[in-house]
Amino acid sequence: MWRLLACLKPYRGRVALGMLCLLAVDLVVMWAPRVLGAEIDRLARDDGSGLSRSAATLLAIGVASAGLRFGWRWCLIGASRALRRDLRQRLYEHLARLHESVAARRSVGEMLSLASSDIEAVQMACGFGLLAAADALILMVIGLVMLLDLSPALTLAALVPLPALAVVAWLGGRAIHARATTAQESTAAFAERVRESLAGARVIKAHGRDDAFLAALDDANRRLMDDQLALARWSAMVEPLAALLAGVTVIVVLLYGGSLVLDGALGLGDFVAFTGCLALLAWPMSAVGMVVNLARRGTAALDRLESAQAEPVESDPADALPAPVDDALAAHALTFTYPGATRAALSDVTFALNAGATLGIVGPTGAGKSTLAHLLLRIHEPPTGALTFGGVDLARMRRGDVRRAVVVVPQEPVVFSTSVLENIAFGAPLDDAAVAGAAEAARIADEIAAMPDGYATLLGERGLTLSGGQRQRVTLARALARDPRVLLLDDALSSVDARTEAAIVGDLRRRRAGRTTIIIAHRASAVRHADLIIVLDHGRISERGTHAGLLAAGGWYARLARLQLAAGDGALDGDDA
Amino acid sequence: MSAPDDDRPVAGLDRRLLRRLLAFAWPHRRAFIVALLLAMAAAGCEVLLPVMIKSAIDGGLIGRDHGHLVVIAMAVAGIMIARYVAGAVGAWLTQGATQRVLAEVRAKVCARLMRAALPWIEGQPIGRLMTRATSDVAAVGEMYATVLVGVVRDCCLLIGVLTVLLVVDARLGILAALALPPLACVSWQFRAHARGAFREVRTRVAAVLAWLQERLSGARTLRLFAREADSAREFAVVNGAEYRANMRQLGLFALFQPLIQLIAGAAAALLLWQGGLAVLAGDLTLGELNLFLLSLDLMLSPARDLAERYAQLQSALAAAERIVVVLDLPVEPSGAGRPGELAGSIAFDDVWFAYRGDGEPTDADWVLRGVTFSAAAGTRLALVGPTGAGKTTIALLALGFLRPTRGRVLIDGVDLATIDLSWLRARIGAVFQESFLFAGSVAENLGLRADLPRARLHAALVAAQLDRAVAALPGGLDAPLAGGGALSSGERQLLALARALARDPRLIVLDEATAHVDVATEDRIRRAQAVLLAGRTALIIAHRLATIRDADAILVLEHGRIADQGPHAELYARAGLYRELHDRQSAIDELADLERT
Repeated sequence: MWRLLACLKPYRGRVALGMLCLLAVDLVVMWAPRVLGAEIDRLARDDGSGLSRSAATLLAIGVASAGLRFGWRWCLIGASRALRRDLRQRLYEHLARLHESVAARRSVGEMLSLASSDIEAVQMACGFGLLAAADALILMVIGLVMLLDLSPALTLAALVPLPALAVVAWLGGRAIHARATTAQESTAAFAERVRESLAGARVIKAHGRDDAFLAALDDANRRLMDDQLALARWSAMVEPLAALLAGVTVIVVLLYGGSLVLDGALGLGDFVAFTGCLALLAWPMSAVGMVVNLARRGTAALDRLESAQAEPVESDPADALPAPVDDALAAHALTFTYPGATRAALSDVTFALNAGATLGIVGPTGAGKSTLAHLLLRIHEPPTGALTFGGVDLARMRRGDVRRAVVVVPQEPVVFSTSVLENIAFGAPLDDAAVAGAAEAARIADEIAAMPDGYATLLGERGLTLSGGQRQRVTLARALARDPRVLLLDDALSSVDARTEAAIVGDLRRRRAGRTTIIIAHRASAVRHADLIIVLDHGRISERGTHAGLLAAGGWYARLARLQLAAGDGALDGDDA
Repeated sequence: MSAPDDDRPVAGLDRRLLRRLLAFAWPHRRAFIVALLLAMAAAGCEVLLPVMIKSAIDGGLIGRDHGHLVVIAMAVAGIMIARYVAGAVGAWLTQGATQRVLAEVRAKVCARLMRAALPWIEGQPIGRLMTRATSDVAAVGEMYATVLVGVVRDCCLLIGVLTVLLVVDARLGILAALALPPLACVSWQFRAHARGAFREVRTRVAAVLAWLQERLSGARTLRLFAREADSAREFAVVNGAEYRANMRQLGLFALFQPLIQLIAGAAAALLLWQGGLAVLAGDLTLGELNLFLLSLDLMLSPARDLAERYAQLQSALAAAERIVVVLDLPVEPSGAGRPGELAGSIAFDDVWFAYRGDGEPTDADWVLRGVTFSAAAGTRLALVGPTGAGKTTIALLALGFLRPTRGRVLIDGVDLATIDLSWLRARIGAVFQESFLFAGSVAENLGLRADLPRARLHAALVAAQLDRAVAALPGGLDAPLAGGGALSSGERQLLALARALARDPRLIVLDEATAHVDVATEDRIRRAQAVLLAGRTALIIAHRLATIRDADAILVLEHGRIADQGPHAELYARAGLYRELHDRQSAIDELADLERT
């Protein structure tokens, strides 16, 4: 509870103002029955002297309470919404920097539910929950003081049924809650049945089982109806019960209060004022359960948020080194095992690549090609001294520097729902000519020109959907536009057809002449011009050499090259065909 | 889940739609009528309570009659009990009838969806179809439970209170009623604005979630380009827009309630002033003055709620409109014939097919152009050809999921259009590339809710090379397959083969999987397929060279026509398209092996 309140600290000005409004409005509202009572007393004495003043007071109370109510809503609920905005911002900033070792463990769905339902639960607890708690407390205190002031004896008598009311409300609430949970579950079960029957429609119909699955849907439907009926019946009986029990109070006040009036122990006006104050006390009684519930949910959500924000992010130690000037890359007996894995993903990998040279990496699926790329990019942490960049240990360099020097075209191309231009420039200060040149080199320029708004065309959910090959070429243009010191293609042309790939690789050779380039590929044709080709197998280098040398050796690489030639240009599997 | 089209307001009140909504409730009219009468009774009790207090003040307190107080107290107790009973029984009946109506509507929607033609179902986003059977039906429920009963209750309250006030003092009654027009005006204005504000908030929230979803999915890319800080600044913009939309909505809400209370406060002040004068003049008793002040809220709240009811009615109608579209869907056409036991021969007689249903298809629309072939009972026919040649269309036609635009599909010499499709499909073993798993157990996934003996299921698993994998699951045949996580993608393929095996069909329609699986699983699939095909007629969309070579006949499809047909040796010798496809496939197969080592 206190942790929830602590969340509101940055908004304490707004919250305090809102609380003041709340206190004021409760005082003013509780004042109205007293004004009325006093006036009734005067009218009973045929005294009309205060009438216009009382009416004016009531009007003033109306105006003041309207203004104050607007004030607390705006301040308190507004503060909780600002809290939601800021919590969400902080959460995103943390999740965006999450270290790969933990990022992989959390699904995007999970992160989204943190950002939506969990943050909303905290907001509800800190906004409406806090408000209801404060309001109930203030009203209860003021109400009791006023009631006791009017008539202590009648107050005690009137409050006798209240514990019973609380118990009934609690028991009834529990019974309804249990049934609501069941009904919720069967609603979800029914929805899932429907989903499954539609998603599996092909299999169901192909086996002629429509009737059986429809019968199962009917069962789920009937169960849902039964549970909804049970909930509805309990609600029907329990919900009006509170009003019935509150009626006991009315009767007590009528009988006992009435006889007090008749005995002269209580004025008629006080009697009227008393009934008015009592009516205002109904809400705080029913608010308690709700507040407890909101606070409980809010605390649980806060726990989840805090544990997510305790997870490690990518950060550099203070003594991290800047990137060196020389672009030579080397691996020295590099062995890497993923945390928790038993087998090494890379074992004893050694190579040296001079600045300006091209390295080709091929090998079967799961041989460790992408792992090597991830280590070069510091997505995972390479062992100390195993990878060097310009002679400096890559593991000790600043991540940002590494990534500015080594730019990757990833296996899974990620395109964002912004314009083509923004997707290629991607935050770098580039002029249009540089972007167009990169698009040209990535063989995507013609297709961009054919798009409805050219480079301004929106991509993604609300815009144009690109094919896998187009996405790969956009991300290639993104990397080329930066003209990086080291370009790393991580199987980046798998969805591009062989002819386009050949054209792109040809262009790359010209553009990247004298610049360090690493090409991880499935096709031998993509790496044939590399200064050094290594074949990875089960994390080890099984073959190394130039294209001609490897062909002559007649190993795995030679077979790959021969079969790929026989399989043709792959026009049947590349989606750019 | 709410798609943009789910938010469209219904223009006015569609009479036909309203009639249809009432028709759903018609079988339960007695319960609804009794519930409405009870709602009126409850409203009556509500109106009577302040009258009783008035009587207590005037007759008991001012008239100094203790006996009268006791009578009134008993009357109050009676009214309260009556109100409780009328309220509880009324709600019980309304909810009971409503839930029954909703269950009936849900059943109708489900039946229509399940009986719709497969291409239609697969062409719809599943989330949207689900909404029809779930939240749309629930929204229609509001129509009965809230709108119908609520309107009657609100109207009774309003009329009852006004009548009492006018009877007690016509002049003051009219003064009290003066509060109604501004109240109605404010409520109406609020509704109009709130709708827009709500929609704005919903759009902004959706935008925040979509933005987050995209950037969190692409977080690694952002990190690799060192753009974490940039993207945080971008998020602040999207997030800030959502906050501002929320604050606008909050401003509207924060204004509405206080305005209503302001109107109520002004009315109370006016009544106290004028009523007080009347009391001084001796025209009004103190109890009557109190009655006016107590009844004020009772009169204002239904007036305020009626605006809300109209909005609820609108959204119920919008949901009903979407449901009616489903209820009016055509059922998948099917013949009724059940021609004895199936021998299993299949033939296409000059079959043309185009997807366009409206008008004469143009030349480019034809997916199949005069396909004729026949497979005698017990023979194997392999379909090969490049992507888009029409192989899948042939399989869907054979299962009756599509109907030929021209020509006939014959099963055992009978036109498929005349055969009962469920009956026929129960006798065909269909295996698709994507093997869908249901949430139930292995046994339920094999039987598909058919009552097959367990021995037969087990035999099917053995034949499909899946018995050991299933025995290893906790519970064996009864192991739950929720999400399918327990089985690898190759094993899912095997399960689809076992599904067909368990039915011992005469005719197999098989779309061979191309998904990459490991060598051992590949071997299991090959053996399971051999058992399934042995001695049965089979139409195979073939991707494996072995399957193609073993077929009795091969159809080479190109652009919707049969380019060539015959057994493997004959086709290969001709050195045409088939040989080209075959050799390329053989290299691709070897490459796949190479990549697996």
